[in-house]
Amino acid sequence: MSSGEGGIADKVNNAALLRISNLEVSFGGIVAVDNLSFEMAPGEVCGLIGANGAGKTTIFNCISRIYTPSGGSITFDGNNILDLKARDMAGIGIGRTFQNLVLFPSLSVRENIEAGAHSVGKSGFFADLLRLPIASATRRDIQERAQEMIELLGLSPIAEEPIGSLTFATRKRVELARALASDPKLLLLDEPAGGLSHGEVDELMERVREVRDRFSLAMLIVEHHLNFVMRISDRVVAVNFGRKIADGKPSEVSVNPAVLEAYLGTAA
Amino acid sequence: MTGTRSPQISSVLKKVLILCVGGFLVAAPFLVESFALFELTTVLCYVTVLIGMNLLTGYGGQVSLGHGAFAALGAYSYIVLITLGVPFWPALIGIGVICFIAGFAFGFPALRLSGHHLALATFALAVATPQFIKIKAFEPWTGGSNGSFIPLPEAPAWFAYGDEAWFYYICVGFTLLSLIVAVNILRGRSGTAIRAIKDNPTAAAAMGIDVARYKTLVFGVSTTMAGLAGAGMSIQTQYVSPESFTLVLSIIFLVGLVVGGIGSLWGAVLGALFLQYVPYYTEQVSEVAPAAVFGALLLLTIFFMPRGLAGAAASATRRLGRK
Ligand SMILES: Nc1ncnc2c1ncn2[C@@H]1O[C@H](COP(=O)(O)OP(=O)(O)OP(=O)(O)O)[C@@H](O)[C@H]1O
Ligand SMILES: [Mg+2]
Repeated sequence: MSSGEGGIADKVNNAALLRISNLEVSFGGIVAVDNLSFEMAPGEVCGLIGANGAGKTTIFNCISRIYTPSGGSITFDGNNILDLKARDMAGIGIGRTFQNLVLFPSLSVRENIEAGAHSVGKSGFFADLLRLPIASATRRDIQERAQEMIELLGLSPIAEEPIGSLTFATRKRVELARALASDPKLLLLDEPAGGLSHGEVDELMERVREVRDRFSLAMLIVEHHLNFVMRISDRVVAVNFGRKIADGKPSEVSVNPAVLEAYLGTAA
Repeated sequence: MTGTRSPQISSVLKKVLILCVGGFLVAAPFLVESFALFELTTVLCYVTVLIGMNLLTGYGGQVSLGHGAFAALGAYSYIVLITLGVPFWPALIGIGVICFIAGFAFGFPALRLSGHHLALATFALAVATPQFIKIKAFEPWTGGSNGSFIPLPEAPAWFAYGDEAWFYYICVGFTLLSLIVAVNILRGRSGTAIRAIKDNPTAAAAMGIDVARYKTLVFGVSTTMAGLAGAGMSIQTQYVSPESFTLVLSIIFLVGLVVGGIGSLWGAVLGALFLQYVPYYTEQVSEVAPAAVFGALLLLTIFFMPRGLAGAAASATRRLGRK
């Protein structure tokens, strides 16, 4: 810690929780992500902004291994993500929400969140089938974890409801609870404020802050609602046509000429 | 008020129902005649198949039109094992293992097929099965198209009520076992995972759920149940032929699943009762066209009780509880 040796740069690098290097993704002829690199430190809240089609969701899908990039590398907490599968992400500590809300409609709110806590448990299929002690222990752990998330996000009154009966804003909260249930070190939020009213966005801001303080987790937040991103983020990365055009403090990025031209200009 | 009362009433109702059904199952050999016991044994076999299909389709979302093929596999595995001199109980376990492995293995190509493609593939399996059994090379085992006789397992000396009652109790045993297995799977984290996969496999994977593993394992469990039931049906009729396992059998299973109620274990019981007893009544209504009456009843069920008999019963008890 107090060492003045030459390894400091390495140490800083090793401290990164997520490191994306020279990421490339193309769909047919379209280059969706173009030589993109950035890092996130543990506990950091990073905003990811860019116009429609800039490649933000594609970056998320690479981090959660739904897509396989055509080039570059992604490391997370000592793991080379590209060696792993989508289903491994929750286990190593990456949770996410989806831009277009992907809940499980035939499960209740509570069951959705329990599904989110899947990776918290250890019991296998046959342990469940035979109701071995580990199956019951896992069930208890998952139920406790889900209950904690339900209380944290104020979902108790509707915990047994099916998803179909909920308002859009509530569904978004359920999805957040489900993502948190896996106890992630990094949470990817794809447009958490999308489709919410002003009052709901303020409430979301409070919830996100609460979550962050309580679990001290890192968050990568894609959001078009600039006021929201700029207020909540420690750092903001701006992308345009799949390329990074700015990376810095919210106050710096919001006055960056390239960002103003590419994004704020069109958004205004 | 009403909200707190209704679950109590329905849970009391459930306990009473379980006690009645349980008591009846134990006492049945002393209460009913031999033919009725024969029917009851068939019902139990249907229940076992339908529990498995409910896990696979109702909860897991994988449609199979070919469970008759796995019932055939169970029946013919039994014949082969018995012919090889394997005693009854190990043979029964053997059927379970063979049908699990077959279903689990079939589950892998099934992973690549979605929705109606999977239905078609399993359909093909059901169509091919009778032809496959008739293959000449297998005749020493299968008896070819003439079929083959199967002895009822002998009751042990301490059991004084005859081989038929003995076999009936064996069927009660594996039906209960299937039910317990299904309940155990569904209540644990595997159950939530299976249902989540049905709704959205991509999101399920993002939750850390191993989609391929659960889908193939559920396939294996459901075909194990189909195999046991297939063996059970053939053993109690003491005869098996390729015609016992035509496509119609697979369709009948599917009808039982839908009419009983998809996604409900009670539905498996109701569906089995429907399959066994309703055709008799339809024959009384119209001797000429029992199939047509059966079909009409099926249509009515689908239109007016989309969640099957179990779904209708559930909302009826809920209404009762509110009163
Ligand atoms: N599965 C896919 N197949 C083909 N093209 C895709 C696919 N996913 C994304 N794209 C394309 O990649 C580009 C980036 O899309 P992406 O969804 O990442 O944008 P985004 O920044 O999230 O936009 P928005 O703000 O509208 O959500 C777009 O041109 C899009 O059409
Ligand atoms: Mg997007």
